[in-house]
Amino acid sequence: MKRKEGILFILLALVVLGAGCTDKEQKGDNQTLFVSGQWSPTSIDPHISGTVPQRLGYVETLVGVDYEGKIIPNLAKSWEVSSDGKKWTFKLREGVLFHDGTPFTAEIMKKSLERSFIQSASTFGKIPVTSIEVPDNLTLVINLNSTFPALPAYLSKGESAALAPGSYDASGNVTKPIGTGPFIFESWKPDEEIVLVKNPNYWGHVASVDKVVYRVIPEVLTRKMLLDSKDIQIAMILSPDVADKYTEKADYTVLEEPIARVRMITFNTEKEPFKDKKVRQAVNYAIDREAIVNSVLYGYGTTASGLFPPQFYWANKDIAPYTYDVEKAKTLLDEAGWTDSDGDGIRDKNGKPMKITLVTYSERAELPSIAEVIQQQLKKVGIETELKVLNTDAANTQRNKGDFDIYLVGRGLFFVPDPDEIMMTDYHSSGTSIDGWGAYRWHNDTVDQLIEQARTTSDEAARKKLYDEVQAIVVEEAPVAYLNYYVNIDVTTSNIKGYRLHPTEYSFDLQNVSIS
Amino acid sequence: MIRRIILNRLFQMIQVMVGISLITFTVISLSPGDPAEITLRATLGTESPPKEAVAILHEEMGLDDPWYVSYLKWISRVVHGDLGYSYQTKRSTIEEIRNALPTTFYLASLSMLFSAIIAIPLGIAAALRQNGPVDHLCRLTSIVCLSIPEYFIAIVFMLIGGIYLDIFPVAGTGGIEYFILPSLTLSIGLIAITMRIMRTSMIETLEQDYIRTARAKGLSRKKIIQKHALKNALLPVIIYMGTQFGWIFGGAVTIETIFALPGLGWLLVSSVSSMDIMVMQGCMLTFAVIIVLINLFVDLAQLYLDPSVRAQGE
Repeated sequence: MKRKEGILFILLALVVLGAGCTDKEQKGDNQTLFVSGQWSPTSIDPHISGTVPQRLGYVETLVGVDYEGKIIPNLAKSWEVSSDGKKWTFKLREGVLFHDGTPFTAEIMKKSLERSFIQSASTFGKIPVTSIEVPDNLTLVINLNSTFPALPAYLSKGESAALAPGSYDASGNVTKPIGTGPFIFESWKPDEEIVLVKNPNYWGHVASVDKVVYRVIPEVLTRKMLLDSKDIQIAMILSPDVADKYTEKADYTVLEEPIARVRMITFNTEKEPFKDKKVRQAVNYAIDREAIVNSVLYGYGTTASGLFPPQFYWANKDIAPYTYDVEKAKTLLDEAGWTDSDGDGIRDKNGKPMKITLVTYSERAELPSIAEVIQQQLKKVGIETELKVLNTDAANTQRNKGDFDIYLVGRGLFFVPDPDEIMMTDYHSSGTSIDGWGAYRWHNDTVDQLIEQARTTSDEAARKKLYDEVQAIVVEEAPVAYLNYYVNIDVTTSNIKGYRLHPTEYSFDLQNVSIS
Repeated sequence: MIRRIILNRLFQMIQVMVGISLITFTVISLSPGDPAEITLRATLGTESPPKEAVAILHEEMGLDDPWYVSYLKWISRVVHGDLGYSYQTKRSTIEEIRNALPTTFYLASLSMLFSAIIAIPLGIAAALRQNGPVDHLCRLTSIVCLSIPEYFIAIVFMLIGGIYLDIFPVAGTGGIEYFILPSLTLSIGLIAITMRIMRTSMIETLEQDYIRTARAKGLSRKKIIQKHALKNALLPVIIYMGTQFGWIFGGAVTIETIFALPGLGWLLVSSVSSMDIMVMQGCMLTFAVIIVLINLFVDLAQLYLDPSVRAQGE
């Protein structure tokens, strides 16, 4: 028996060691790019789950998004809208081939889009589409029953990608997505990996690497380990504490990019003390934004002055940020009638002490820490803050009941890359009266008018002007206080060239990446 | 006798399944927020999904019914073998579980194997030389192993096995090599206790009368242990390990996420975070069935191995 055990043991050891050695032969082959992120498409069908296919570049949409967050031509060369805003005409790019050789035509795009609108009704349900017409091979007309200026922005979402007829089986389900992008879909293992090969006939910039393996790894630390063992060359979305360790190492490159997500606080403008604009401004001055970025975010974050990060086309770059100015904050509070009359260190007014409640949630791990810093900073100007850290839904419920004074949130701005969406839900009174993601229950007639005017303006520069004005008013009136922008941090091995982070995470642009 | 046990257990299984699903349903209905909104938040990647979409999904998920109505509706579907579908992937729950189960089963089995191979010989060695160096070392190792969280052990194993020694893949799936580090991690806790039980059991067995008789017959110490003591001493160990198989399935929840193994644990975690109710229920049911079946199996094994239990039953 003992001998048997021994043999078993040795055999097992051999299996284990042998198995361990086989895996890494690929490493020397520098034509394959190994990348890893936490996202996994929930379906092989890009019309159901389109973000990852689009980022990886095996499918493409009619319009694209550039590095300023602006809508640019992609499969559509150009487009125009009728004067009543209800008829959109898209001119398609000629000479584009699907990966199986099928020519890209308006008819195929129409079928594909119609399928998108059904499969992803939750994304596209807002579009008031009545019909799609194909006047000729390279022209696509989308008819709406009301104006909808964000249409191109919606058509940049991966779920609206062009798929060749060969992508579906007899019952209409996608078995192999055949797109037009710089990479060709080869295989997909759910929650594991997606393998792509380069498309040598791509209409744009042909990729330099031959093959891409995208591995789904949900844990940050695991992605770090894979990078350390050089199993992958690009690790996406590392946390600041993890990324910090690579800044000193010569064989790694740390890349960062502010994305369209802002950490901000929302004031309860319906009740005291934040009914008063001066008090809201005072808090804006009392917060040391620099300190938050340095102490909580390890320096990975950009302090915010307005709604959009300055890299974005839509940002009002002329907004003067609230500086950290304790004296000014104190003066404003004094002016608003909040003084420390009993000398206990907490301001009061008409016998009521300035005690406020800050509500936030823990799903975004840094928010509770930021809340603590704010608590300390407000104490310096005589405001006592009680922290309530809940989960997202409990926090939402409490906020929408009005049971808070300050709400701390990480807010995504470009669900679709057009300001209309965020402006309508967060700053127009029709949105602020329903939900409190942005300016809670806040109403400003000028802002309402400007946003409405921007909805019916098709000239981009004119629209930007209107939104610039809205941003300036919001900062001045201070129904919210912007703290800082989210920064994505990716780390690559230093032999990776040409990799650039996209501020809207529209694409990884791996066709520009080369391995030296 | 055996039939009675099996019937008994199967009846118990139904009770457990009803209980578990009832608890899960209650928890879902008590937790704050609209499951339709949470589902869409996960699918679309935005905090405030369009109101229209939320309304449509709300209807589809049948959230307007009181929870006991939707529970009864759900039960009647389950009886017909329909576990619903995932709101995230649009695949059926059964398909999701069928895809995930082999990974977890493989992981759990390998952990059991590692635990047995490592813990049993060490436990015996510790018993044979009580308070000797091996015994002390084992005791210390047990305490250390039990006090370190799995999450940390996983990272340490990745560092050692995947990066410094560079013989195993750090994470992901593929052949058996991908399962070595996660199974070792998962087996650590089991090893610590199994080792102690093996030791105690062996010491007790060696004090039995029949061992003394065997020794009096002049059998060598080695023979006594191999032929007479081991079989008896192993019994409590096997029973303990059997009951722990289910526990290992539970441990898979953390380990699978860290090592990026798309098994049942991962499925449960992702379905909970996106409020994928049908999949969540399906996972809980699967866990319940597995644990009841394992207990049944352990009972039967005990019956087979231990004559005294058999005699009692008759």
